[in-house]
Amino acid sequence: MDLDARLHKARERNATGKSTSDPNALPTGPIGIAVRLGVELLAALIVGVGAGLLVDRWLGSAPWGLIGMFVLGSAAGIVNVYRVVNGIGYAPGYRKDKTPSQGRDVE
Amino acid sequence: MNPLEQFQIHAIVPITVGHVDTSFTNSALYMAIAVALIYALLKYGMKPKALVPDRLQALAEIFYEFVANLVDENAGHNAKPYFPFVFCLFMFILLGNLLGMIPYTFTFTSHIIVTFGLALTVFVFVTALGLIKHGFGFFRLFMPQGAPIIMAPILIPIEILSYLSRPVSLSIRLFANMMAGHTMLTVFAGFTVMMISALGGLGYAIGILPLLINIALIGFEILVAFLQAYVFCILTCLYIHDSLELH
Repeated sequence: MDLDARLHKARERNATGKSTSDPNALPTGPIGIAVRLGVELLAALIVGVGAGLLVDRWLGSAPWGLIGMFVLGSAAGIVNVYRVVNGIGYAPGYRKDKTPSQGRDVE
Repeated sequence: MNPLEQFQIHAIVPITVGHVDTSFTNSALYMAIAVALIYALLKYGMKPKALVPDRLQALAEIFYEFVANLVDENAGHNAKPYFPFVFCLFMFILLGNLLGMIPYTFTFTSHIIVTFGLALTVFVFVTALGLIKHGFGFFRLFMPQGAPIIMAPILIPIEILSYLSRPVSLSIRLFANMMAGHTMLTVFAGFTVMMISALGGLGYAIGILPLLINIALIGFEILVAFLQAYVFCILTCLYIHDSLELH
Protein backbone atom coordinates (compact mmCIF):
# COMPACT_ATOMS: atom_id res chain seq x y z
CA MET A 1 0.00 0.00 0.00
CA ASP A 2 1.42 3.40 -0.86
CA LEU A 3 2.04 6.02 1.77
CA ASP A 4 -0.79 8.37 0.77
CA ALA A 5 -3.42 5.68 1.10
CA ARG A 6 -2.05 4.62 4.47
CA LEU A 7 -1.95 8.20 5.72
CA HIS A 8 -5.52 8.72 4.56
CA LYS A 9 -6.64 5.60 6.38
CA ALA A 10 -4.84 6.56 9.58
CA ARG A 11 -6.40 10.04 9.51
CA GLU A 12 -9.85 8.54 9.07
CA ARG A 13 -9.33 6.21 11.99
CA ASN A 14 -8.12 9.16 14.05
CA ALA A 15 -11.16 11.24 13.15
CA THR A 16 -13.65 8.54 14.03
CA GLY A 17 -11.80 7.85 17.26
CA LYS A 18 -12.22 11.46 18.28
CA SER A 19 -15.96 11.68 17.78
CA THR A 20 -16.56 8.73 20.09
CA SER A 21 -15.05 10.62 23.03
CA ASP A 22 -18.27 12.39 23.92
CA PRO A 23 -17.89 14.83 26.82
CA ASN A 24 -21.58 14.63 27.70
CA ALA A 25 -21.58 10.87 27.94
CA LEU A 26 -21.84 9.34 31.36
CA PRO A 27 -18.59 8.03 32.76
CA THR A 28 -18.21 4.31 32.40
CA GLY A 29 -18.57 2.14 35.45
CA PRO A 30 -21.18 2.27 38.20
CA ILE A 31 -19.03 4.32 40.60
CA GLY A 32 -18.34 6.94 37.96
CA ILE A 33 -22.05 7.36 37.23
CA ALA A 34 -22.95 7.44 40.91
CA VAL A 35 -20.35 10.11 41.67
CA ARG A 36 -21.30 12.24 38.69
CA LEU A 37 -25.03 12.17 39.48
CA GLY A 38 -24.40 12.58 43.20
CA VAL A 39 -22.32 15.70 42.61
CA GLU A 40 -25.07 17.15 40.40
CA LEU A 41 -27.73 16.59 43.07
CA LEU A 42 -25.52 17.86 45.87
CA ALA A 43 -24.41 21.00 44.05
CA ALA A 44 -27.97 22.16 43.39
CA LEU A 45 -28.95 21.41 46.99
CA ILE A 46 -25.99 23.39 48.34
CA VAL A 47 -26.91 26.37 46.18
CA GLY A 48 -30.59 26.09 47.15
CA VAL A 49 -29.95 25.86 50.89
CA GLY A 50 -27.29 28.60 50.74
CA ALA A 51 -29.63 30.92 48.84
CA GLY A 52 -32.44 30.11 51.28
CA LEU A 53 -30.29 31.02 54.28
CA LEU A 54 -29.22 34.26 52.59
CA VAL A 55 -32.82 35.18 51.81
CA ASP A 56 -33.77 34.50 55.43
CA ARG A 57 -30.96 36.66 56.75
CA TRP A 58 -31.85 39.44 54.32
CA LEU A 59 -35.63 39.46 54.81
CA GLY A 60 -35.77 37.93 58.29
CA SER A 61 -38.26 35.41 56.99
CA ALA A 62 -36.80 32.36 58.73
CA PRO A 63 -37.51 29.53 58.19
CA TRP A 64 -39.65 30.01 55.07
CA GLY A 65 -36.87 31.08 52.73
CA LEU A 66 -34.87 28.00 53.69
CA ILE A 67 -37.84 25.67 53.24
CA GLY A 68 -38.85 27.13 49.88
CA MET A 69 -35.34 27.26 48.47
CA PHE A 70 -34.60 23.75 49.71
CA VAL A 71 -37.53 22.42 47.69
CA LEU A 72 -36.50 24.44 44.64
CA GLY A 73 -32.90 23.31 45.04
CA SER A 74 -33.99 19.68 45.15
CA ALA A 75 -36.02 20.23 41.99
CA ALA A 76 -33.04 21.87 40.30
CA GLY A 77 -30.86 18.93 41.34
CA ILE A 78 -33.30 16.48 39.79
CA VAL A 79 -33.43 18.61 36.63
CA ASN A 80 -29.61 18.49 36.51
CA VAL A 81 -29.62 14.71 36.89
CA TYR A 82 -32.33 14.41 34.22
CA ARG A 83 -30.18 16.41 31.82
CA VAL A 84 -27.05 14.40 32.49
CA VAL A 85 -28.83 11.05 32.13
CA ASN A 86 -30.62 12.09 28.94
CA GLY A 87 -27.41 13.36 27.43
CA ILE A 88 -28.64 16.93 27.17
CA GLY A 89 -25.54 17.92 29.07
CA TYR A 90 -25.64 21.35 30.61
CA ALA A 91 -27.69 23.11 27.99
CA PRO A 92 -30.83 24.76 29.31
CA GLY A 93 -34.19 23.37 28.32
CA TYR A 94 -35.34 19.79 28.11
CA ARG A 95 -34.91 18.96 24.46
CA LYS A 96 -31.90 17.41 22.92
CA ASP A 97 -29.79 19.71 20.81
CA LYS A 98 -31.35 19.70 17.32
CA THR A 99 -28.23 20.89 15.53
CA PRO A 100 -25.39 19.40 17.52
CA SER A 101 -21.94 20.71 16.79
CA GLN A 102 -19.14 18.23 16.40
CA GLY A 103 -18.39 16.47 19.65
CA ARG A 104 -21.65 17.49 21.23
CA ASP A 105 -23.83 14.87 19.59
CA VAL A 106 -25.23 12.37 22.00
CA GLU A 107 -25.89 8.66 21.73
CA MET B 1 -1.12 9.64 62.08
CA ASN B 2 -3.67 11.90 60.50
CA PRO B 3 -4.39 11.42 56.77
CA LEU B 4 -5.84 14.92 56.54
CA GLU B 5 -2.71 16.57 57.88
CA GLN B 6 -1.33 16.91 54.36
CA PHE B 7 -4.06 19.42 53.51
CA GLN B 8 -3.11 21.87 56.25
CA ILE B 9 -2.23 25.34 55.16
CA HIS B 10 0.53 27.17 56.94
CA ALA B 11 2.04 30.54 56.32
CA ILE B 12 5.58 30.64 54.95
CA VAL B 13 5.86 34.43 54.90
CA PRO B 14 3.27 35.94 57.26
CA ILE B 15 1.80 39.13 55.81
CA THR B 16 -1.11 41.07 57.28
CA VAL B 17 -2.78 43.89 55.37
CA GLY B 18 -5.03 45.78 57.76
CA HIS B 19 -6.85 42.99 59.54
CA VAL B 20 -6.74 40.60 56.60
CA ASP B 21 -4.31 37.71 56.65
CA THR B 22 -2.65 37.69 53.22
CA SER B 23 0.27 35.44 54.14
CA PHE B 24 2.27 33.67 51.49
CA THR B 25 1.27 30.08 52.28
CA ASN B 26 2.43 26.67 51.12
CA SER B 27 -0.63 26.65 48.83
CA ALA B 28 0.47 29.94 47.25
CA LEU B 29 4.02 28.61 46.95
CA TYR B 30 2.90 25.63 44.86
CA MET B 31 0.65 27.83 42.72
CA ALA B 32 3.68 30.02 42.03
CA ILE B 33 5.76 26.94 41.21
CA ALA B 34 3.03 25.69 38.84
CA VAL B 35 2.88 29.03 37.02
CA ALA B 36 6.68 29.22 36.84
CA LEU B 37 6.86 25.70 35.39
CA ILE B 38 4.20 26.44 32.76
CA TYR B 39 5.98 29.65 31.82
CA ALA B 40 9.34 27.90 31.63
CA LEU B 41 7.93 25.05 29.53
CA LEU B 42 6.36 27.38 26.99
CA LYS B 43 9.17 29.95 26.97
CA TYR B 44 12.18 27.64 26.81
CA GLY B 45 10.39 24.80 25.08
CA MET B 46 9.42 27.00 22.17
CA LYS B 47 12.74 28.85 22.02
CA PRO B 48 14.29 26.72 19.23
CA LYS B 49 11.16 27.19 17.07
CA ALA B 50 12.37 24.13 15.19
CA LEU B 51 10.39 22.53 12.39
CA VAL B 52 11.30 19.17 13.88
CA PRO B 53 10.74 19.76 17.60
CA ASP B 54 12.99 18.50 20.35
CA ARG B 55 11.47 16.90 23.44
CA LEU B 56 10.49 20.06 25.34
CA GLN B 57 9.11 21.75 22.25
CA ALA B 58 7.12 18.61 21.40
CA LEU B 59 5.64 18.64 24.91
CA ALA B 60 4.63 22.29 24.63
CA GLU B 61 3.13 21.65 21.18
CA ILE B 62 1.22 18.60 22.38
CA PHE B 63 -0.44 20.62 25.13
CA TYR B 64 -1.19 23.46 22.74
CA GLU B 65 -2.74 21.21 20.11
CA PHE B 66 -4.66 19.17 22.65
CA VAL B 67 -6.35 22.22 24.14
CA ALA B 68 -6.85 23.83 20.73
CA ASN B 69 -8.69 20.72 19.51
CA LEU B 70 -10.68 20.59 22.74
CA VAL B 71 -11.88 24.18 22.29
CA ASP B 72 -12.58 23.72 18.60
CA GLU B 73 -14.62 20.55 19.05
CA ASN B 74 -16.59 21.45 22.15
CA ALA B 75 -17.02 25.20 22.04
CA GLY B 76 -17.42 25.54 18.27
CA HIS B 77 -15.33 27.29 15.65
CA ASN B 78 -16.33 30.74 16.90
CA ALA B 79 -14.65 30.07 20.21
CA LYS B 80 -11.06 30.61 19.03
CA PRO B 81 -10.70 33.91 20.95
CA TYR B 82 -11.33 32.08 24.21
CA PHE B 83 -8.60 29.51 23.68
CA PRO B 84 -6.03 31.32 25.91
CA PHE B 85 -8.47 31.26 28.83
CA VAL B 86 -9.10 27.53 28.54
CA PHE B 87 -5.41 26.83 27.99
CA CYS B 88 -4.44 28.71 31.17
CA LEU B 89 -7.09 26.85 33.15
CA PHE B 90 -6.02 23.48 31.82
CA MET B 91 -2.30 23.98 32.43
CA PHE B 92 -2.81 25.45 35.90
CA ILE B 93 -5.10 22.63 37.06
CA LEU B 94 -2.99 19.92 35.44
CA LEU B 95 0.24 21.22 36.98
CA GLY B 96 -1.49 21.59 40.34
CA ASN B 97 -2.70 17.99 40.21
CA LEU B 98 0.61 16.60 39.00
CA LEU B 99 2.78 18.59 41.43
CA GLY B 100 0.69 17.08 44.20
CA MET B 101 1.73 13.60 43.09
CA ILE B 102 5.34 14.30 44.13
CA PRO B 103 5.84 13.18 47.75
CA TYR B 104 6.04 15.96 50.38
CA THR B 105 4.38 18.49 48.10
CA PHE B 106 1.10 20.28 48.61
CA THR B 107 -1.87 19.80 46.25
CA PHE B 108 -3.59 23.15 45.95
CA THR B 109 -6.42 21.70 43.83
CA SER B 110 -7.48 19.64 46.87
CA HIS B 111 -8.85 22.79 48.50
CA ILE B 112 -12.41 23.67 47.60
CA ILE B 113 -11.77 27.39 47.88
CA VAL B 114 -9.15 27.15 45.13
CA THR B 115 -11.33 25.07 42.80
CA PHE B 116 -14.36 27.20 43.61
CA GLY B 117 -12.34 30.31 42.79
CA LEU B 118 -11.47 28.80 39.41
CA ALA B 119 -15.06 27.68 38.78
CA LEU B 120 -16.39 31.09 39.78
CA THR B 121 -14.01 32.74 37.30
CA VAL B 122 -15.42 30.48 34.59
CA PHE B 123 -18.98 31.20 35.71
CA VAL B 124 -18.56 34.99 35.74
CA PHE B 125 -16.70 34.89 32.41
CA VAL B 126 -19.35 32.75 30.72
CA THR B 127 -22.24 34.80 32.08
CA ALA B 128 -20.59 38.06 31.03
CA LEU B 129 -19.88 36.59 27.60
CA GLY B 130 -23.54 35.59 27.18
CA LEU B 131 -24.77 39.01 28.27
CA ILE B 132 -22.37 40.80 25.92
CA LYS B 133 -23.22 38.57 22.94
CA HIS B 134 -26.99 38.43 23.41
CA GLY B 135 -27.91 41.30 25.73
CA PHE B 136 -31.10 40.66 27.60
CA GLY B 137 -31.89 37.82 25.23
CA PHE B 138 -29.49 35.83 27.37
CA PHE B 139 -32.21 35.51 29.99
CA ARG B 140 -34.21 33.37 27.56
CA LEU B 141 -31.94 30.67 28.93
CA PHE B 142 -34.04 30.51 32.08
CA MET B 143 -37.32 29.84 30.30
CA PRO B 144 -37.17 26.53 28.42
CA GLN B 145 -38.64 26.75 24.93
CA GLY B 146 -42.01 25.14 24.45
CA ALA B 147 -42.91 25.14 28.13
CA PRO B 148 -46.40 26.45 28.93
CA ILE B 149 -46.26 30.02 30.23
CA ILE B 150 -48.28 29.06 33.30
CA MET B 151 -45.33 26.97 34.49
CA ALA B 152 -42.97 29.96 34.42
CA PRO B 153 -43.19 30.86 38.13
CA ILE B 154 -41.92 27.39 39.02
CA LEU B 155 -39.60 26.75 36.08
CA ILE B 156 -37.68 30.02 36.16
CA PRO B 157 -36.45 29.71 39.77
CA ILE B 158 -35.52 26.08 39.14
CA GLU B 159 -33.61 27.01 35.99
CA ILE B 160 -31.83 29.84 37.81
CA LEU B 161 -30.83 27.51 40.64
CA SER B 162 -29.73 24.90 38.13
CA TYR B 163 -27.61 27.55 36.40
CA LEU B 164 -26.14 28.73 39.71
CA SER B 165 -25.25 25.17 40.66
CA ARG B 166 -22.84 24.93 37.70
CA PRO B 167 -19.79 26.43 39.45
CA VAL B 168 -20.55 24.43 42.59
CA SER B 169 -20.68 21.07 40.80
CA LEU B 170 -17.62 22.04 38.75
CA SER B 171 -15.58 22.86 41.86
CA ILE B 172 -16.82 19.94 43.96
CA ARG B 173 -15.90 17.45 41.24
CA LEU B 174 -12.27 18.57 41.04
CA PHE B 175 -11.76 19.11 44.76
CA ALA B 176 -13.44 15.84 45.82
CA ASN B 177 -11.41 13.79 43.36
CA MET B 178 -8.10 15.25 44.45
CA MET B 179 -8.83 15.21 48.15
CA ALA B 180 -10.24 11.66 48.15
CA GLY B 181 -7.30 10.35 46.14
CA HIS B 182 -4.65 11.87 48.37
CA THR B 183 -6.43 10.81 51.56
CA MET B 184 -6.67 7.26 50.24
CA LEU B 185 -2.95 7.18 49.41
CA THR B 186 -2.06 8.29 52.92
CA VAL B 187 -4.47 5.85 54.56
CA PHE B 188 -3.00 2.88 52.69
CA ALA B 189 0.55 4.04 53.38
CA GLY B 190 -0.48 4.34 57.03
CA PHE B 191 -1.60 0.68 57.06
CA THR B 192 1.91 -0.43 56.15
CA VAL B 193 3.51 1.71 58.86
CA MET B 194 1.00 0.51 61.48
CA MET B 195 1.48 -3.16 60.58
CA ILE B 196 5.25 -2.89 60.87
CA SER B 197 5.12 -1.14 64.22
CA ALA B 198 2.51 -3.55 65.60
CA LEU B 199 3.65 -6.92 64.21
CA GLY B 200 7.38 -6.45 63.69
CA GLY B 201 8.84 -9.01 61.29
CA LEU B 202 5.46 -10.40 60.27
CA GLY B 203 4.37 -6.79 59.63
CA TYR B 204 7.05 -6.42 56.97
CA ALA B 205 5.57 -9.46 55.19
CA ILE B 206 1.90 -8.40 55.35
CA GLY B 207 2.70 -4.71 55.05
CA ILE B 208 3.70 -5.29 51.45
CA LEU B 209 0.00 -5.71 50.51
CA PRO B 210 -1.14 -2.11 51.17
CA LEU B 211 2.06 -0.99 49.49
CA LEU B 212 1.08 -2.90 46.34
CA ILE B 213 -2.36 -1.30 46.42
CA ASN B 214 -0.68 2.08 46.78
CA ILE B 215 1.40 1.50 43.67
CA ALA B 216 -1.79 0.84 41.70
CA LEU B 217 -3.45 3.85 43.34
CA ILE B 218 -0.61 6.17 42.34
CA GLY B 219 -1.03 5.13 38.73
CA PHE B 220 -4.75 5.72 39.06
CA GLU B 221 -4.17 9.13 40.68
CA ILE B 222 -1.99 10.26 37.79
CA LEU B 223 -4.83 9.28 35.45
CA VAL B 224 -7.27 11.23 37.64
CA ALA B 225 -4.94 14.25 37.58
CA PHE B 226 -5.14 14.39 33.79
CA LEU B 227 -8.80 13.42 33.62
CA GLN B 228 -10.00 16.07 36.05
CA ALA B 229 -8.08 18.86 34.31
CA TYR B 230 -9.63 17.61 31.05
CA VAL B 231 -13.16 17.43 32.50
CA PHE B 232 -12.88 20.93 33.97
CA CYS B 233 -11.85 22.34 30.60
CA ILE B 234 -14.44 20.37 28.61
CA LEU B 235 -17.21 21.74 30.82
CA THR B 236 -15.78 25.25 30.48
CA CYS B 237 -15.88 24.79 26.70
CA LEU B 238 -19.50 23.58 26.82
CA TYR B 239 -20.47 26.62 28.89
CA ILE B 240 -18.74 28.92 26.42
CA HIS B 241 -20.62 27.13 23.63
CA ASP B 242 -23.92 27.70 25.44
CA SER B 243 -23.15 31.38 25.87
CA LEU B 244 -22.13 31.87 22.26
CA GLU B 245 -25.10 30.02 20.78
CA LEU B 246 -28.27 30.23 22.78
CA HIS B 247 -30.87 27.75 21.74
